Amino acid sequence: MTKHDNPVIGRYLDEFEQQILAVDPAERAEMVREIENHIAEATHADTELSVVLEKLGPAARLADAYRAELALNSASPRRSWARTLGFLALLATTSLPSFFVVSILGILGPGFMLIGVVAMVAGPLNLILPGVVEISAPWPSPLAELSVLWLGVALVIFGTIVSGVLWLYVRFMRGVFQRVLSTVRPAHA
Amino acid sequence: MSTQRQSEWLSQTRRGLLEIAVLALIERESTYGYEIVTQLSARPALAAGEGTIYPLLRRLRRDGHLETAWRESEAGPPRQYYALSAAGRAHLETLRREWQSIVESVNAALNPDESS
Repeated sequence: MTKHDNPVIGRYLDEFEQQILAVDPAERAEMVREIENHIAEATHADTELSVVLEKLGPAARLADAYRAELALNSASPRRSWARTLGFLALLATTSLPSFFVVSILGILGPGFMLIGVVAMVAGPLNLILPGVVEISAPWPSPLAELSVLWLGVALVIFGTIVSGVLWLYVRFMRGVFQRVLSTVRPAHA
Repeated sequence: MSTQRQSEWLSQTRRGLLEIAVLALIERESTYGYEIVTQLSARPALAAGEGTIYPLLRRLRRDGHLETAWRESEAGPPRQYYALSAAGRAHLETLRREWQSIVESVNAALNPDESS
């Protein structure tokens, strides 16, 4: 959400930002800042705010112009997620190696992260409420609980690395697909 | 050609030409968004407003034709200055050549007596 001293400008920038959620957050922030700066420059040059906003046009139309220029298909991050999931499904079903990579890494990454979080909670929980969780370790409390906590941290890190590898693989394959598709798709006039 | 077709044709042509105008303006000296908008909106034939110039600047930047840097201004808010990258200069050169060749060909078609 955009914070601005002037509520009219704040609302305009918020509406604009909501329409370009498909853009990655860093670039989105830059886009909002360039419009914010334009408004600041124009009002500093003694143009009435209402005139500045009128010339910019409604926030939704301005966002449409950006989308058309940048060839963005969607304003909604949910649709962007849907595209990513759709691409994952395409990737998994169109080649055997990708099917194994996506399935195995896709289960292992989040799986390790989930187990890690459970272990990170279970260790300290057993220290606060002894006996709530059964921990069988060759060493006594609180060493046993601490070892479970560290095991949890290690699992979360490992799960994150596995998910990162999956993300890199998907990005690489998307590049491959785009290059292949661009050779068969007719160019826009 | 119907009025709607004419208007579409004009809008498409202007869109393409605006890219040359923006790049040529930035080639002369690095400048900032508001200044680009002010200079180009003073040329009615281009029909360029904020709503078309900022998205175009963003696309040219994404394409690697423009480089940007924030600088403080003496009065007013900090400004994002645009400058042509090496790729941007090469792109403008290509567009300039193409444009001159198109103008010559169209002029020759429109005024066949003068060109002969």
